[in-house]
Amino acid sequence: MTQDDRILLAHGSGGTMMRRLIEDIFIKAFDNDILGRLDDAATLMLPPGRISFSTDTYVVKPLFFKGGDIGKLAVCGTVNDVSMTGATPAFISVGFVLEEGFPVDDLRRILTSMARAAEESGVAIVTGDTKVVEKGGADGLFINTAGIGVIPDGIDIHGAGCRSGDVVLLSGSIGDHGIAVISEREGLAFSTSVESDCAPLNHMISAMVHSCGADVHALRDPTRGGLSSALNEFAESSGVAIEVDEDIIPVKAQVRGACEMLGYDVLQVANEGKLIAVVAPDAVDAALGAIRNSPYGAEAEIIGRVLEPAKGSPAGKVFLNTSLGSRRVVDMLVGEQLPRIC
Amino acid sequence: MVYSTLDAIELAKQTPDALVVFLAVGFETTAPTIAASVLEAERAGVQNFQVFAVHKTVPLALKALADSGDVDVNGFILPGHVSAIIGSEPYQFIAHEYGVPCVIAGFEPLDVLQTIYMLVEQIEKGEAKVEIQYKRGVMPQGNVVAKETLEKVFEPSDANWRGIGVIPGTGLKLREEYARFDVTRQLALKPPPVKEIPGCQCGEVLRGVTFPYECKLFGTACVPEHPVGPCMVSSEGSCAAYYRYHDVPEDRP
Repeated sequence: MTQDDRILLAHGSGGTMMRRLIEDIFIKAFDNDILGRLDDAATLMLPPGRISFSTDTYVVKPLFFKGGDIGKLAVCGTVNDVSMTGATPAFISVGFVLEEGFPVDDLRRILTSMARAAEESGVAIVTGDTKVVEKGGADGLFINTAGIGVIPDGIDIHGAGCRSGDVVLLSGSIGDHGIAVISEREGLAFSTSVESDCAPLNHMISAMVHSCGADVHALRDPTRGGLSSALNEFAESSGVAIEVDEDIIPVKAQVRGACEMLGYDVLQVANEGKLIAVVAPDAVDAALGAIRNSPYGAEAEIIGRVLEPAKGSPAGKVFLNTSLGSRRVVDMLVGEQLPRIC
Repeated sequence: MVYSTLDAIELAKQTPDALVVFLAVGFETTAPTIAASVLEAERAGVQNFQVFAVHKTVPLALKALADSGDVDVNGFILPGHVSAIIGSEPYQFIAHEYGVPCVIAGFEPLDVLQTIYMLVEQIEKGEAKVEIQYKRGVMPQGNVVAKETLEKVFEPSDANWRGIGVIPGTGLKLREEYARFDVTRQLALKPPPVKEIPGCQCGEVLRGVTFPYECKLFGTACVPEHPVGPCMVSSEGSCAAYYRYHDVPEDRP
């Protein structure tokens, strides 16, 4: 491998090597006129309306996993976060922290995958930044993305929007991403063919918001902390109780097996391409139809409902009707999930 | 962070000037992988890899429970993954000498329910034997290769259990042949006496003489975010489970 095949400190120095890296690799991958001007800031036109704005930083290990890589994750994650307000994401920024010695081929692969995800979701990557840190200063590659989008008129979707009587929809099987990533980590004694569900959900959400309008009350993508954290956030912000049915929540057999082996609660395992939607009862059919029409929502189900807080179902709590016929509290994840040792 | 003992050996190879010490915790489930890493370090001639072994083993801890007289144990629900390694033989004395029914259980709710059913059946029939409910994970002979690896590298030692004290034969130490991989012997470490935290009743909870919510620290000083004792750690600690479900009124005994 020659020097040209690896990222050097000089690539972040602001000189000619940096310029070449940007022009040869970044601009080529993200091809669009706004970025191509190479100004200090992008100038953008947005349609009128409220703006949705979100940022996230991606540090996943390993960088490549079944069903995706850090680049796809960085685009989809921010596209999805912006979309959870009902907005149509339009532009994203991207910041890279590269470790000295990082293979340029891997960077190309990641950029290609980011470009593909951006194209699929219809967003343009319009501004960016690259820093190179010395060997050991970062673990390979970190990516930050931020995104903006415009919220259609009359739409007000937020975590505090759940009302009693609302219905909880889930767009597909849970736990795929978390299990795909952990089973790729070196040395784990099992492997699965589970793929990460990493995907952009903005078209699915746009379709649902288009057909259901203000009847969509709350949306969230259950990433870290899984379904249980997302539902608990809803219950707490909205001052309601939520109940979901274990038998209906889709879980792939391999994910269930891996969770059993490791002692993980699948409700707390991360997803990167799933949607939880809380909608008014009248809008359920339309919302479910819109989600199922998306390539990422074919297995969508009605998994539960929002309850009037009462004795036995206090506000701020989430309950699971288990397969055994019992009812248990679903808690937020505390710290990291710990594997079994006994 | 390393994801396996073999990662630790890899790290040792990459940093020949540093001593890499792997803190080896867990029961019979994890100990064979530590033993395998010691054998691998020996095979590969890795000089700077050592182990700080604080393993615990299950069977004689059950004996201590049965001997203590604190609780009248009607039946033991035995750990599935430990038993996947050691099999059912090491528990036979509990059934035969103490007359206590034993069932090796899986970890899912249905597993535990069926295990309790099997224990009740034994009690009803006046039997005491070791049964395996977790058949998809446990064979009576255990995992022979893992067991042999464990026994090749480790020998039983005494171990101190939180809130209970020293139980003879419930720890593991590296055999004399592998002493050069034992950091406590190589650096002549003398761990200070274990300090118990005042008020923490994990020992009583572990022995089944106290319910988690009877402990004064439960839910006040000791919560999952700041566990004082091990019973409040992870979703499977008994205090953590009580804490998690304690405000569902119908769940409280």
